[in-house]
This record gives sequence, C-alpha cells and structure tokens, in this order.
Amino acid sequence: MRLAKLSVLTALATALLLSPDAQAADKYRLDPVHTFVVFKVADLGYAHVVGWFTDVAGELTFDPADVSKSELSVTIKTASIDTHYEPRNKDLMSPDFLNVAEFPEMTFTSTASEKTGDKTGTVTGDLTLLGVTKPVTLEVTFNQIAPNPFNSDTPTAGFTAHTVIKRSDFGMTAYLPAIGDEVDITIDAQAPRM
Amino acid sequence: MDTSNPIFQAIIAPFAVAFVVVGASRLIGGRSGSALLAGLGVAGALLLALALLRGVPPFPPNSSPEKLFYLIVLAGALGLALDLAGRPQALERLAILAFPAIGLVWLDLRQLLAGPERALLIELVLLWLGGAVVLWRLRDAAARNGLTAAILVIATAIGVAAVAALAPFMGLALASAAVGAAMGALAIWAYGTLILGGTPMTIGATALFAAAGGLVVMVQLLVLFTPAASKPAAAFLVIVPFSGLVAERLPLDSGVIGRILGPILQGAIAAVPVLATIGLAYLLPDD
Repeated sequence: MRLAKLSVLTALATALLLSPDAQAADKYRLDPVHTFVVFKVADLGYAHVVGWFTDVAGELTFDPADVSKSELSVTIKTASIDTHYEPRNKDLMSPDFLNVAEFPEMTFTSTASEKTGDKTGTVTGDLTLLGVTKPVTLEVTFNQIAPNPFNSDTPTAGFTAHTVIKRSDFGMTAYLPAIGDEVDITIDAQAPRM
Repeated sequence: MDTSNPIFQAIIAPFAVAFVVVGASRLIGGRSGSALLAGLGVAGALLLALALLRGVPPFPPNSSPEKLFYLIVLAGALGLALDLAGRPQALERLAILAFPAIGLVWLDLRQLLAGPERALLIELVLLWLGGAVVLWRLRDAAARNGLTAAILVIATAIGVAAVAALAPFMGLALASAAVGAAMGALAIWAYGTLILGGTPMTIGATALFAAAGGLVVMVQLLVLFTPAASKPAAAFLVIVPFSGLVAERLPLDSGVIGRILGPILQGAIAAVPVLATIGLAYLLPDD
C-alpha cells in the first residue's frame, strides 16, 4: 500500500516536472520569427522614427518559481535594421550610427533577474553596442508558458520587455539633439523550450 | 546663430576660425607671413568642426569614426614637427609615406588582429598607395604655389563630401566640408596676397598634413567602413590633385590679370575630375 502511494506520488511529481508549467529552470530558444525588437527615437521634434531589427537570436534559461536564476543572452545583427525606408536604413548602418561594417552585432547578456510582481520583473544585463558595454535594465512582463499548438505543443514562453537607452552612452552622437538621444526599445518574444 | 546647426558646425565655424588665425598669421613673420601659425589655424578649425559635429571622442577612441579626430591631431602634429624642423625633404617624404599607413593600421586594427583576408590586405595596400600619392602630389603643388595646393585640397574635399553624402555617411560629408571651409579661408588670404602682393603665399606642412591628411583618412574610413560607398568614385578622387598639372601649364602672364584669372581657371579645371567623381558615385554605388 505504502509502495503504491509512493508510486503515485512519484508519478505525480514526474508529471509536474514534465508539464508545461514545470518549476525547474528550463532552457528556451528565442523564435526568430516571433521575436520583435522594436525601437523608436525622436526625430526633429515632429514625431518618432520607428524601426526594428529582423535578425535576432538568443537563449533564455527561465524558472518561474525562482526568477533570480534566469539567464538571457541575445545577439542582434545590426545590419538587419529596418525603418521602412531603404535610404534611411543605409544611413543607420553607416559609421554615423550603427557602423555595421565594424560592429556587425550587438549583444545583451543578463547579469541579474528580479521578480517585482506576479507577472513582472526586471532583467539587468550588459548591452554591448558599438563595442561599448553598459548595464541596461529591462522591465519584463511574463505573459505565459504554454504548449504551442502551432509547434507540436512545445512549451513556449512569451515575454514583453521594455527599456530606454541613451545612444550617446555607446558613442553614437551623430545629429544630437536633432535626432533624439533616448532610444525607446520594446521587445516581444516567444521562445520554445529547447 | 544656432550652433547646433550642421552648416554652422561644418562650414561657418571652421571658416571663421581659420580666416581669423590665417589673417593674424599675415601680421607675423613679415611679408611672407607665418605659415606655421596659418597651419595651426587650419588644423584648429578642422578639429573644432569635428568637436562640434560629434563631440571630442574619448581616448583611446573605440570606433573608427572616433579615431578620425585623433588621426587629424596626429597629422597636424606631424606637420607641425616638420615645419619647426624646417621641412627637411627626406623626413617630409617619410611622413607622407608613413601617415596613410598609420591611419589604415589604426582604423582597421580589429580586423587586422583577427586575421585579415587577402582581399582586405590588397584593399589596404591600394588605399595606402592612393593616400601617399595624393599627399605627395599636394606637397609638390604646395612647394610651387600655396594657393594652387589650397584649391586642389578644396576640390578634393568637395569630391570626398559628395561621395560620402551619396554613400550615405553624412557625418563624413560634413567633416570633409569642414576641410574645404578651413582651406577656403586660407585660399582667400592666399588669393588676396597673390593679387595684391604678386607673391604666392606659402602653405606649411601643418596645414597640408592636417587638411590633406585628414581627407586621406576620411577616404580610408569611407572605403573600409561604409559598405554602400562607391569604391570606383573613391579611387577616382586620386586624380583630382593631378588636375593642378594641367592648370600649371595654362598660358597666363604674371601680371594682375593673370594673377586674378589663374586661380579661377585652376578651380574650374579641378572641378572636372570632381564632377566625374560625383558622377561615378551616383552611377556606380557599391550596393
């Protein structure tokens, strides 16, 4: 009887561990087709230029039960910038801005994670842009982890994150203050479990 | 005056500073003026423009555009050392050969340390050759007539600015415009000196290295780090200083009319390869 109870408990525990809502730290890979890194920057005071990066790759280690154990690393190809206007894209890829020939990638590597609410938290990490590394904090909303019916029911984590950086902190000083110094960044990411 | 306006930063400010300092240099050193002080005016005007446009970069600089500022400081310092030493020919020629190489190695240090491909090495050699040829030609022109050299530098600066603007690399276009503005101020004084005094004004190594050396580094930046810049156009820029050889053979007398018309015709002749460069940049972008 005792053995039977133990077997049932073991089975339950195993089911929990293997379930989409598993409490252990799992590894997830950012889905490039469902990951959007969108930015906007003030343009001469009229409005904002909005753009995104289309080549984003990254991995996430995430434990919903202990967010502090989470780790995130992201690499963005700077030449994948797109602002819906090719001449402006070329300008942004030039040495005046992203200098893609010299710095083909920008990276983010987390150093600390903290839970701030039921579904919110912060992820602090090192952003390396134009060869300069500065600490940046992302305000993150954890949307859900659930089986993805379009991906063989693979457990998929979904997040939305937001931060504001100053491009001059990274040596990108062209056309200040006409083109704003603050760059507002929003990230929406889906990451299937690996 | 809006000091954050790029036109002010790239053209008005460097022109004004160079004009005042070069003008002051005419009061020093008697009839010939002080080529050294005039050179410091040109170099200072150029560095002021870069500081206004992008700020003074950190040292050591991190990226290639930030290195431009310090390479112009180096160029000006090389020129200053040559002027103070009395411009010994052998040393000046060595500096002409060395400076483009220094610029290339420092600008492309990351790729060189990572193990460059053969294509890059060939490109670096060609850029070095082109830079050395341009500096050599301008030095020869300056030795004969400072105004001619100034006109050739201005024409080359316009060509570099146009190729950069079409790339686009607008920051470099503005930096090149600053070279044109600073040398333009010097050219105005040289023109006035020629017309009124009948003797050409001397351009020292400080002005030559700061301005022309600066342009050489700018072309290096353009070719190495601006994927969409037209390499055929950048290569054709080497021809611009040689237009002076045509201008020098113009059948003009040494009287007032000749002194007034000569530089104007030189400018017109120099405009031909500049226009060709712009045409190449427009028709043959490196997409």
